[in-house]
Amino acid sequence: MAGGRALLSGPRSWCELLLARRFGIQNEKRNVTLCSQNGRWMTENSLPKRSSQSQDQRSTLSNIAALVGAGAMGMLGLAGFAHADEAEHGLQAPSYPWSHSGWFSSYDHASIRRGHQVYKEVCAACHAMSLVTYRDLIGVAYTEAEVKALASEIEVEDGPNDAGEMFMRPGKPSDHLQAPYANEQAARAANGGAYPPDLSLICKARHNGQNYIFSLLMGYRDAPAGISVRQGLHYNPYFIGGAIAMPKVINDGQVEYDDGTPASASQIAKDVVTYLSWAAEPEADERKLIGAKWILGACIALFQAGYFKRWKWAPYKSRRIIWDVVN
Amino acid sequence: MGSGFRVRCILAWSLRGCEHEEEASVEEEVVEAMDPKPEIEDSCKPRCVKQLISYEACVKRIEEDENGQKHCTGQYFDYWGCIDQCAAPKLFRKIV
Repeated sequence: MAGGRALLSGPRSWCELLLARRFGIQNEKRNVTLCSQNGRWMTENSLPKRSSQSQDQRSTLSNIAALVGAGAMGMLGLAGFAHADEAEHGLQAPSYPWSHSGWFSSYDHASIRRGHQVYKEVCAACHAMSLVTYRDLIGVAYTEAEVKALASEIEVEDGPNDAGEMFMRPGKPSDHLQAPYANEQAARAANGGAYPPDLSLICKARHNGQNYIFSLLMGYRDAPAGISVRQGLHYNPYFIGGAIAMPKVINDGQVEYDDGTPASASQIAKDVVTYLSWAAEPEADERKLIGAKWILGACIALFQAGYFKRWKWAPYKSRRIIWDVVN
Repeated sequence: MGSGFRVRCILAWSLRGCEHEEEASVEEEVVEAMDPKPEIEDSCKPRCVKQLISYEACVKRIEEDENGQKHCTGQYFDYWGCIDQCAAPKLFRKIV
């Protein structure tokens, strides 16, 4: 046996061999033909050797050590949480059943249209959406004519004319939504040092964006006992730290919808969050269509590839090796 | 509604302007949008009684202590987290 290599019968995967050696799984007795180093064929009834006793003890001890270590790490991790961390993370927003979540669900475009109206009437006073152009709304929430009318309501500064002067002109669909402030410093100065963030990508820029923004807008409540926020800030449990500079802006009847939908606070918040979701991910509808097609195609291709592999490997996997006693 | 209203308006005229009364009558014709969220949250309160009791116990505990360090954010979060989990699936059925 010394210097010999056992050739076990039947194809064995490497992990089967590993497990057998590791746990000392006994196999049935076999006549095994061995090929020794000096070229003489020898026969032996052999069983896969069980790991030696010392190896057993070592491996068991290392197992126990690993488990204890993992347990200790877990306990330490849990013990590390200070309970004051709650306000630092904010109250976790619940998951609302958005109509556009799901692999095969598109946006509610009527809701996007109402949401744009809410943004324009309520939010645009403080929040910019500089990455969205008017023409992005064509075919999503408004017709081209409506968008041209919307765009022409604003005045935009345009490039030097022939006299070298900058001039103001009415907006075009290619213009970006107009920002309320010229720059961040102006925004901070007008809002007590707090910067109302640009909302173009806000739903992607915040963890659990949609649910977070909805909860935030609806979440203005009385502070818990023992918490007070300074003058100028408002308590909102969903906001990190709890004290937000924005006051509650969404109230019942704040906006009068063009399509006559009753404008409760929840309705307004839902519509504006749908609009913000669209603004952050305008490609979502098309992405889901493409995704459905490609994933279906990939599944079919996977099945095909698997079948082909199995077909090619069939002769090898079904081979039989016949051992015989050498006398 | 109209004439009776005008009479009341004249009587109330000494106290406040009639414009408010007329505006109120116009607004009543528009469907008032009542937010369903507070209602739903109220209906969820029975499920979160344990957290509410825990919060109120905390409030009572820190009442006596006035050094300003103690607060009940944890219990508050537990309570409102429970209400949110209960109310969230129901809210969108009530709005368009």
